[in-house]
Amino acid sequence: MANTLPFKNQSNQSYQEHQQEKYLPEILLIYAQAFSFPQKDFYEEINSGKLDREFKELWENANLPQLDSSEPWMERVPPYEEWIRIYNEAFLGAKKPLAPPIESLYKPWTVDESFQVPFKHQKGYLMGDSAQHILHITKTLGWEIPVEYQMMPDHLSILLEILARFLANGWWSEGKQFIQDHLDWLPDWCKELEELPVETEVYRKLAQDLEYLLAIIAKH
Amino acid sequence: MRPISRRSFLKATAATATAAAILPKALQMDFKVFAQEAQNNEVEKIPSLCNGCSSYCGVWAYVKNGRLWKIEGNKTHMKSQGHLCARAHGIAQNVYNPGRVTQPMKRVGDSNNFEPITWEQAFQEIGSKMKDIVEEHGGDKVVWACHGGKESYASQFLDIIGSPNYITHYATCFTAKTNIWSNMVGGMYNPDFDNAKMMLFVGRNYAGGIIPAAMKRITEAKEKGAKIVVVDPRFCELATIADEWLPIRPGTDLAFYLGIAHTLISEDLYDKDFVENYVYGFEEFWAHNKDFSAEKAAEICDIPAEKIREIARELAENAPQAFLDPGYHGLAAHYQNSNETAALNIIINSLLGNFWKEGGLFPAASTSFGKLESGYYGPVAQKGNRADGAGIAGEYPLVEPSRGIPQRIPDMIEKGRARVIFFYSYNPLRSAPEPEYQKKIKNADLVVSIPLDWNETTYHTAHYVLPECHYLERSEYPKVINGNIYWPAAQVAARFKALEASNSTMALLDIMKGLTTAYGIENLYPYTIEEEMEAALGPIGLTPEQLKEEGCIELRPSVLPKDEGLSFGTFTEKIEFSIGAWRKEGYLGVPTWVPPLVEPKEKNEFRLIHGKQPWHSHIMTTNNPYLMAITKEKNGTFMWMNSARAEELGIEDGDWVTVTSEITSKKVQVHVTEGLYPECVWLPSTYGTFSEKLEEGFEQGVNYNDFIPARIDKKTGHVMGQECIVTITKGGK
Repeated sequence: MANTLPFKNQSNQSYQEHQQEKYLPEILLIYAQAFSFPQKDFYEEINSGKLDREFKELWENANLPQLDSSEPWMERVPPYEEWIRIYNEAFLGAKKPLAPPIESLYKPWTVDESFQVPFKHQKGYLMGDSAQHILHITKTLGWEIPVEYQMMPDHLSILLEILARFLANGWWSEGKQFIQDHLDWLPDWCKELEELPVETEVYRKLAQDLEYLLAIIAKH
Repeated sequence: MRPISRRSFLKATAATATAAAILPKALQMDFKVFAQEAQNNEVEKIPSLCNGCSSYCGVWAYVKNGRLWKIEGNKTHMKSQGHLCARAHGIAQNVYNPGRVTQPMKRVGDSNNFEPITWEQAFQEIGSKMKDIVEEHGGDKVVWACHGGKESYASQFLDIIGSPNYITHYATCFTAKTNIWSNMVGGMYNPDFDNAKMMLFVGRNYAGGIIPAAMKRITEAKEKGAKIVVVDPRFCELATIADEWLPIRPGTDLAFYLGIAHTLISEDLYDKDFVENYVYGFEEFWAHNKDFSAEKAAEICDIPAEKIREIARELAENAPQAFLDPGYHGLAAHYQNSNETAALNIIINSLLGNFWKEGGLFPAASTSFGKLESGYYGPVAQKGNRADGAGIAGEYPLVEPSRGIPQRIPDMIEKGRARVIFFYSYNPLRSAPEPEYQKKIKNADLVVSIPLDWNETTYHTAHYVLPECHYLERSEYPKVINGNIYWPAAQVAARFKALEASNSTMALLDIMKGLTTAYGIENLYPYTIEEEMEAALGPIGLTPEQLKEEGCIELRPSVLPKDEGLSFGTFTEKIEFSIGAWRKEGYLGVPTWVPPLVEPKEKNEFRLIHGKQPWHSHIMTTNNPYLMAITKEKNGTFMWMNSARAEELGIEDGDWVTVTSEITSKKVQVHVTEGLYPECVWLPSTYGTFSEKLEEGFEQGVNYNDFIPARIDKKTGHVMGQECIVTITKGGK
């Protein structure tokens, strides 16, 4: 990493926090969108260079240290049809095995020993304890999981938006706890991605950058 | 909170939309503390009906924090009696399988890629496309293809648009049996294991195509002294508890039956009173079959004449507390002569006089449910002809239109007789013959699949995928629990929503509401499932609450032994040995010997037969990791071959071989055994998944449907799935 310090300017903390509360959620939401099914308008935003300009501006405004691999989104993302194919094969399961970015799949299903289903300690199943916790958080805060994610409330896109909302509200402590509890599986996911027969470099690079960003937030 | 300008996934609920940035006290952010606290919650018990096969065994789902804690069998339910098979446990766990279709999908481009879409978009696009097609070509171009056996809400819709094309899977299953029983007896009859002294099972393996309570009762009957004879080319699981296993030449059950019938009649062992009072066409049958002796039967079926006579005599000795099991799918219903075989099954049981007798055969006890009216009062189109020709003069007049011919849907599309195809929980690309032919289904103008998982039909042909929720996530219209095995009282049970379901998948009633509304038919189903349940149960004095409490409710016994006054649901009210519908179509009314369609001749030629394994029954179970683990442990995908034939070909246990039929060539490993008739090889019917999206089952083993062309039996429409010759050569992998 180019810079292990969380932020460029430690002296002006209040202004810094203000800037980060304003811009970090925006950055996280870009990542959230990138890990959901590729929408045409999002792709066009990337392809036109608009996203790169916006992303750069947000990153700078948030006073974040430059990424080592600051490859532009334009160059990182494959042509739209190819991106759709990769998403299908890696996440929807068009080729086996699949590795969707869902937290439950990379953690033991439950820590509740009383359960009698044989997979209770296994990874690879939806709606694990982590999903239950996400449902608790969103329900308590009055945030509604969209229909298409209700079978996977701990999908990475949802997790990132929850984190974005925490930061936007200034709930840094909760945000850091959230990263520790719910975004610690990204390395396992990347490992699975590497083993997929489909080329998933676009997602692995995004995940690496995201990990870097999360580490910065966690050290705040 | 600051405004977020980018796409937002989460929405604020109405109650909290204006909440200030203050964290509620109820929020437990620490995951470990949350998970620990959640362990203190209670476990509740909700009844449902298993979806692992068509037995609909009663289950109790134990649920904690909205998630499945365990399942167990319902003790009252006549099919489970407290026991569940491996499939039941496996299928229940599929609810958390990430390979499920997790939301509506739309095919993108020419390759097998899909785009997640909203339910609203799916309904609008399908409704609009279907409307255009129906207006241009007529409602009779719409086909609904499904497994059958439960409420599908499709007929209400088809009736309005003028489509007669409700097609079930049964031609790939047991129609040869049910069609003949309907014609000759007026419906199916089922064996009374508990009181039988002798039970003859021919090609029926209750331990493979499992009904858990049936195996329990058969085993208990054996303990009480009942004799069990299993006639099967394979030493099947039921044969392991039999007194005798007779390996018969496959495709010749009819000859064996004719030999039994001949012995019963020629040795004057049959129940003359029963025949005189309750049989029509006995003389005609005997006139055409009096030369078919046990010796003649033995030449064909390879069971010694003396053994055939011995079994006939033992049956007669124990009659009426003796039966020949009516059979089921593959070995009983998939040969060119299966119609005649089913007829002889009825004739033998009639000669034993065991209908309505203890230890014999009984009809299913039943009851009727109430039904709510549709709220649609608009125009109704006149129905056109069936696309599959079932029941139509000059096409397949003897095939029951209520079941149809599912194996030739690509032909219907090619001829312009079908343009819109709905598949509800049905996968003909894998469960019907000739998958490459079945793939042509994608040529239809519109294909909509309503599955749980990414089955082959969905993956290769569907333009739209509308995922149904898992059976534990939905309530359903109640079911009368009866059939297959004798039980004196009808039972009533239902699926109640046990697990917290997401709205990303839907129950069928809601899918049908969305589709028909988008099509322009308002108010076709103006009720909720709860209201429907209440209306269904009301006339029999039950409430949904009672049913939910008890899981399964048994009504008063209504089918008890009778000695006289029997009446059968046929034109003569007797059991008709001579079938009127056959005579009307120019066939001989009574069954006589019909050879199988194909015969192996060369040294490396075999008849390919198939059957079920105890831990898999249908294609849908092969994507379950636990059931596939059993497969791995037991080498379950291996093809069985007789040891003497294997030695001739230099094949050893575990060797790979190449299996070639007239339409394909595949590679599979071999299990060498003495427990198989030498002339055939045997495949479990479950494997050969080729949907890349079913990762557990993908490319595991081969399937008999790969090897057989999509034929149609002229009398009952079945696929003749056991009529297949393959050549086998060592190696290939």
